[in-house]
Amino acid sequence: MTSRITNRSIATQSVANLQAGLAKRAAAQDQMSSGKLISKPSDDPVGTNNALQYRADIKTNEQFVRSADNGASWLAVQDQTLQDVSSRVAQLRSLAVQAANTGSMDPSSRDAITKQVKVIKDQLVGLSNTAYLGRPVFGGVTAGTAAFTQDATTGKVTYAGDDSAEVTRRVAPGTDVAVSSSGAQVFGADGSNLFDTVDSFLGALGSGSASALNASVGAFDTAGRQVTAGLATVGARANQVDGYSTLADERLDNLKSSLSTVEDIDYAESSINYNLQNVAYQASLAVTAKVIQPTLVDFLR
Amino acid sequence: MSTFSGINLASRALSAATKAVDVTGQNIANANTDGYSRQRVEQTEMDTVSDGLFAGRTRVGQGVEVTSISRATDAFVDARQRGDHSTAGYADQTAGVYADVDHLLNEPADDGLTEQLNSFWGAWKDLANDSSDAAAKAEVFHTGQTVASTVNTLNTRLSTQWSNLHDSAVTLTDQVNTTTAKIAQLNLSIAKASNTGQNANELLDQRDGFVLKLADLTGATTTARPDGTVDVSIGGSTVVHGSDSVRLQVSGNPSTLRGVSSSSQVTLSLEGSGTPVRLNTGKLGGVVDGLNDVLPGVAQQFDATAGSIASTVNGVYNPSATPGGNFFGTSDGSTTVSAQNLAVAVTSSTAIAGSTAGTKDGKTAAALGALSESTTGPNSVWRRQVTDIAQKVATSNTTSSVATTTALNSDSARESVSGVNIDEEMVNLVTYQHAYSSAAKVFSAMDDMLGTLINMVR
Repeated sequence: MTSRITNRSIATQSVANLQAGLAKRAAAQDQMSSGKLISKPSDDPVGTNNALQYRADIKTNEQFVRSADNGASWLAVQDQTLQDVSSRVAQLRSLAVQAANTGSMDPSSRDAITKQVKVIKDQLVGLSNTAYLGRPVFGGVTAGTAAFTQDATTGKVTYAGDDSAEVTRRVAPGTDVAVSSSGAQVFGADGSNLFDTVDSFLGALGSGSASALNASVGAFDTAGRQVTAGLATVGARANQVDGYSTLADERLDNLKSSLSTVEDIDYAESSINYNLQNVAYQASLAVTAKVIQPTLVDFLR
Repeated sequence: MSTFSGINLASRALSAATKAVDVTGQNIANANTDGYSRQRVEQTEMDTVSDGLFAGRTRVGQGVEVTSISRATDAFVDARQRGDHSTAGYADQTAGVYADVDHLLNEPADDGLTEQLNSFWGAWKDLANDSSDAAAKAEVFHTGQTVASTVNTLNTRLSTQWSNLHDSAVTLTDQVNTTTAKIAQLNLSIAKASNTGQNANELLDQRDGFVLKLADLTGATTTARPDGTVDVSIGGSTVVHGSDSVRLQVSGNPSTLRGVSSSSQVTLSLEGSGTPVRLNTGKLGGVVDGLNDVLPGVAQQFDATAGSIASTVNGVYNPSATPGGNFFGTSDGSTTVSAQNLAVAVTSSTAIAGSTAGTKDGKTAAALGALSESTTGPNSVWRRQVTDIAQKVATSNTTSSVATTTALNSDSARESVSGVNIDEEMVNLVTYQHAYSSAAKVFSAMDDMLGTLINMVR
């Protein structure tokens, strides 16, 4: 039996088709006005999964850049400080050489040198407690405010920092870079640190002993080498942090563009699609108008 | 054959043609009425009673008789239409429930849960860089609270959706009851009409319309009875028996989303007897399944996310599980973390400890910040839930559109059998009009002939 068509079934079918065309056009319009390919997860479940992953990665990489910058500042402060320390140590060494030249030294010149050395020692103590954002840069992970403390009566300086862990900054997935220099390493261990060397020098100046003064020269040499080694480490770490920061920046650019590919529309493609849907809808409107109008009544007299 | 029987013949022809034109008029008037089945006159020729005493040859028939006005329907097509409509109702309702869930997920978005979690991990990383900074601690506290409240909001929205759906279950049940009452009433009228031999076509159309509505709501099946009435059953229980109807009610304990469990479900039952009615099709079936399965399933997924957030963070922040040392806890004092009660357990931002005690190593904070890179952390748990729900939504949309198309097809099939075609009616109109004018001509011819006969004798 061939299918019998009635006016109502034509009307119902036309309405259904017009509705479908209108819905497609509305979806294209919605995409264009919001600029988003994915307005709700069901639009593209796989794309949503990727978008969420990218978003997390972007935030992570932004954080890597911030941490790297923070680490770079730490290292810059240490670099500057250690250079100042190094020049002071060189000064002390030349004073020691001067003082060891006992032939031309008399108590009053030794007094003058002593005064100078005391001033330099105070400066060194201050430098060793240099702080960045409220934390002593040579104090490791200490919760206190100083890396070295000076006993008020004896003048002996001891390490007050905490070396149980290094200060690190996370600059890449699973990668932590150390940005602290332990005061104990750079200035020497307690009992034979730079300040103890200065104290022995002061003692040698007081006694005038030539052998002690000569020993001081050697000691200052060693101390100077330790500081230089510390500077080298700081320099190497600064380069490392810089490298990671650049890497994180590049990764960030890539991730942002990947996210955009998944989430955002391509305007050219979307506007072509919209026009297509629009044309299709107009065509179906025109055809519907032609189809639903004529009946036999028009032709009967 | 008598002298005047010709007049009788003509008058019968006239009345048959008049009735046919009336039926055509009825069809045209109801061309756009929902559920109308076109009617046709069934005409038979009247023959002569020629046995016995008055038997003879070459007797002419007595004219035409309209035996009935029939309705063009096909019971199989109607049954198929009901089945397809109930499937479409179920699929449509389920897709609607899922679409609402889709929207309340709020992903991917700049203020969705993923971005809140990302900000939370970022705040911990900032704290790791300087673990005594009060501003950094305040940021951790604030972002933690935002994460907890975002999860709470998801739960609240879902609960509201559940409550709205429950209300619509009650409303639909009312509609079902109104419809079954109407069907029963029409059954009574139809029985009366068929007992007195009257034409009940309009009543039958109305009743079939209500049965279709009921099928859309609940997937009803019908059994025809000899007197023209139907029995209707829903989910295996009879709700219309002749002119009696039974009402349906929503029963079951749960009044909130959290009250639903495997032992506490929303059910339908018959009023009075309390017999449970299990629907697996129709709008009402879709609503009940949404209340018992779909929404509680989503709630469980939200709970899993909340649990992951709390246990992962607490595992790093308070690894020795010291009482009172957790970062995330519950707002209502219970031991199980859910999307409803997730809250920050730390009392204030100053109490947040990002390092091992006595140092500023920022270890705890760094470990928590590193959770953003974890492939098993809360980010990935939430991502999986979102993707899972998204796929279910997409599937339900496809199912719904297929079911709707099928329902449209069976609507067309029924329309093809029972619908009114204006062109056809116009042709019929002209045909019967001609029949009428011809019969009138026959009548006037006979009238003339009789006149001649009567005037013959003067």
